[in-house]
Amino acid sequence: MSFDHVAGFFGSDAEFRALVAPFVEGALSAGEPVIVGYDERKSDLIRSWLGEDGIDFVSDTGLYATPSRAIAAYSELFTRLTAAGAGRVWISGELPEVTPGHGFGGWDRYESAINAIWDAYPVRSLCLYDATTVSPVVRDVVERSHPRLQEPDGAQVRSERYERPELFTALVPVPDPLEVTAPRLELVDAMPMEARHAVVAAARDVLDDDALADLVLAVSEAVTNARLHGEPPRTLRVWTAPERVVVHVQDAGNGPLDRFAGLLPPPSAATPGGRGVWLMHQLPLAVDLMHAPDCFTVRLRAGRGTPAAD
Amino acid sequence: MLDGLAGGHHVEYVGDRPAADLEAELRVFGPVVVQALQAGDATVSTVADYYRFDGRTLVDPPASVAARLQATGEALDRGRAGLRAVVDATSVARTAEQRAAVGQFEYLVGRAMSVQPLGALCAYDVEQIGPDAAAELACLHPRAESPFLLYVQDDVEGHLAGEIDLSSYGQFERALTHALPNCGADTWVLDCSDLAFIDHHALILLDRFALRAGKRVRLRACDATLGQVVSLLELDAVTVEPPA
Repeated sequence: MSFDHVAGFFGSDAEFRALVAPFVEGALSAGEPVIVGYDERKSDLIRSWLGEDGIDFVSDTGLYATPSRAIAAYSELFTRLTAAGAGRVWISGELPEVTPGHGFGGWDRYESAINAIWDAYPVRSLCLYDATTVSPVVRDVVERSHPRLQEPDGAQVRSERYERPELFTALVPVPDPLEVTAPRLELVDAMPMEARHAVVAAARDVLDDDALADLVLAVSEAVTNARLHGEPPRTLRVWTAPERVVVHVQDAGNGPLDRFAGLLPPPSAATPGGRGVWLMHQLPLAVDLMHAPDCFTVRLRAGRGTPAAD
Repeated sequence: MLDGLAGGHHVEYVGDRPAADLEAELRVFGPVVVQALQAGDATVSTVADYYRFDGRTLVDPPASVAARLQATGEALDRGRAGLRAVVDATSVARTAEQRAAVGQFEYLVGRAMSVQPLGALCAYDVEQIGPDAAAELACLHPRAESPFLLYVQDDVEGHLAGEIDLSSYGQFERALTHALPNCGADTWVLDCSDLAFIDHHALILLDRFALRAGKRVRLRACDATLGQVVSLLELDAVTVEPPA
């Protein structure tokens, strides 16, 4: 058994029931653990149709704070359940929708990457999306990241547009309106300490202490990576607006080549370090790794409107 | 030194030069010091007399700390408030082996200073031993020009202060080498209330050093971000103490 990744679209509560109920009932009849992660309304619908016995309703919204955190949390869950004897784990849920200014927030990479990351786990996954509200962006990602699509009438078809993880085209990060304005701060070839101090000076009146500390950590890790692995010139730019901050750490190199950079921690290495990209993806920040022909940019956004922080 | 004399301390001026030369240098500080020299409240010592040695050039850390404590006791017996020393320790910090010994002495004497009226201003000539060597020892003091500090004060085993990042990984490794093996307990408590920043690379360094030394490290007074990072890294030997 391996990871079975299926998606479906529903246009009504009846269609939602037609999709989710057989899935959950299949798990229950097999005596296997089933986890559902939907908003409160849909979770209550499931309870009304199927009861609660044997169903694990995910209520921890922090689990979906970032794609990387969701991967870590579910990987730990799958490992624990299979070690306890589960022959298969069933999971059905929904992902955050498009956030204005943030697009799908990296969840496109998540939906594709888990096809590879969880391939060795005996997991059956059903991701359901509301067809009446799903954005064209999300529908496109769903069709390209799920090998098969479940229909409410019970049929399951191959997704003609499915892209294997190694070939998946991630969404282009949504430009931030601040980026077309002059940055408040620009430093070239700054060492991590200088970069941190500059970001603190620029953002201390914009962000609360915790958000600022998270941003400073991410900036430091990005600048360190630029110095260790990037090419000069290495440029730090900071934009601020009321209650939010945008930071670019850019160098003339290629950036990380690992398609799963940030989503998974690297394997333990002989030398310390190597976890900067993954670490910044754990924080309540919007993180974008932007590759261009002549440069690589880590974009970090914090404050109001940041999906992970809300 | 003047502050020490004003506070009733015995002051000691130490260098790798003949005593007569040291005394001449001290007299430049003015009549207060001259008078103290005459009264015996200020003295000079050669490096050879100040420290205890293991061989010709290596400081013996425990013996040297014991000598400092004895000198402090003698100062107290004479009615002084305590002992303060200004020490040019360049000559015992030239080689890596010497600095390892001095580094251990600095850490151990810091513990002694936390419970005895003993103080010191340690000087290292950067032009003679180089900036890296000077930084290696400077960071072991509660007050020094250093991006970070790793020292003992009060009843807590250690304090970690300042900022540790790409610019100071090597210095941090050497500081841990000097300090960690001297921790008497199985768990080394590090107060982080003055730690402004530490990146994940440095935290993993700390974890690996602790494992090699057979110790555990408990970080106290961490901010929320540091606590989160330690948790995410799933370190083997480093934990965060829950807030009081």
